[in-house]
Amino acid sequence: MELFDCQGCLTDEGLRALMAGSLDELGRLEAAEHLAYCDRCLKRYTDLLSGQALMEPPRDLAGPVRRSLMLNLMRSVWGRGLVAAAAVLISLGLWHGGFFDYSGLSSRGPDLPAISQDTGFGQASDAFFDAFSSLRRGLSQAFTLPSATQQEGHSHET
Amino acid sequence: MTAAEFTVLVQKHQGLVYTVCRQLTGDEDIAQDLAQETFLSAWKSIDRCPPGAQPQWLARIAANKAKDYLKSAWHRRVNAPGDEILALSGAPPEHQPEQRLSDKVGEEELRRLVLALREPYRQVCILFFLEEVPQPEIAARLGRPLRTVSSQISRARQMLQKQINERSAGNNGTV
Repeated sequence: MELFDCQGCLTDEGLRALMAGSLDELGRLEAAEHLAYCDRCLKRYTDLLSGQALMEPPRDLAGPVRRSLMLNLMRSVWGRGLVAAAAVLISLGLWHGGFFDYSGLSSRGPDLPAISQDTGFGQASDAFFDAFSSLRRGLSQAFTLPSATQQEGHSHET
Repeated sequence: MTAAEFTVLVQKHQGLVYTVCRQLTGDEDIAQDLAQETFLSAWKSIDRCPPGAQPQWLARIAANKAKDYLKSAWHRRVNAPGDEILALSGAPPEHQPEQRLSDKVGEEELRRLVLALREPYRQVCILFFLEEVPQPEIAARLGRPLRTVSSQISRARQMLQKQINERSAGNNGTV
């Protein structure tokens, strides 16, 4: 079985072997290296995958990804001495939500994404997450933030 | 993109991302971890995703994650002391590993061995070992990242070295 053709691209049988799990470690490394930069072969591979049943991860990814993003975001914000800003946002959110609703107070809190009694914790955490994300994006104008890796999404045409 | 929209994206494409990681690494647990890392990286650069190309874009990130993992595992497993120094352009000829290869077998035999290599090593090695083209130029000519070219040359050198050693062992065993 030839994994690569004479032009250095993955053969059809090579892609089928990858999908069947019959490549050895070196073959999988070579295939991964090639798919990391070749747009044509990546499209062929994803087109083949779209035509068949995909494997489901053993554990759902949405929850852990959301938690990791929250953690990273909180770390980067706190790392720049903005604990007070986070406290202000939380306080404003609680104030808007009526947590500090004392009788006799006539002024209304600032307009924020609605966090009513009806919404679940998921929507409330989304609101805080989006607020922190906006704050972080704004701070990136003034502070140097760790940049995303150069490899993600990078491609070469062969 | 909001957090809620990104969560929908994760739920929609986690099967594809996990499948790519699983097929490339061959391990369920490693694939789970790499799939998670893929989405974390995707979040950081979500603005760069071409419109309507999310599956391919995510698959590219997943392939990169799998490649980095597999390269590290391969390097740990097969790298012998002294092999880690690649020939850099400008280094004295006597310190270039490919010079040592040709010293062992001669130019003609090295040429034969290089021409017999399979892809993805053949083109890279013809340019590097036989035509002495610098690695950055090889990368530009073949449309491959420089790090990929370096890795392929390193592995090819190990393959050639192994073939040379087996030949030597075979010759020593004959009467």
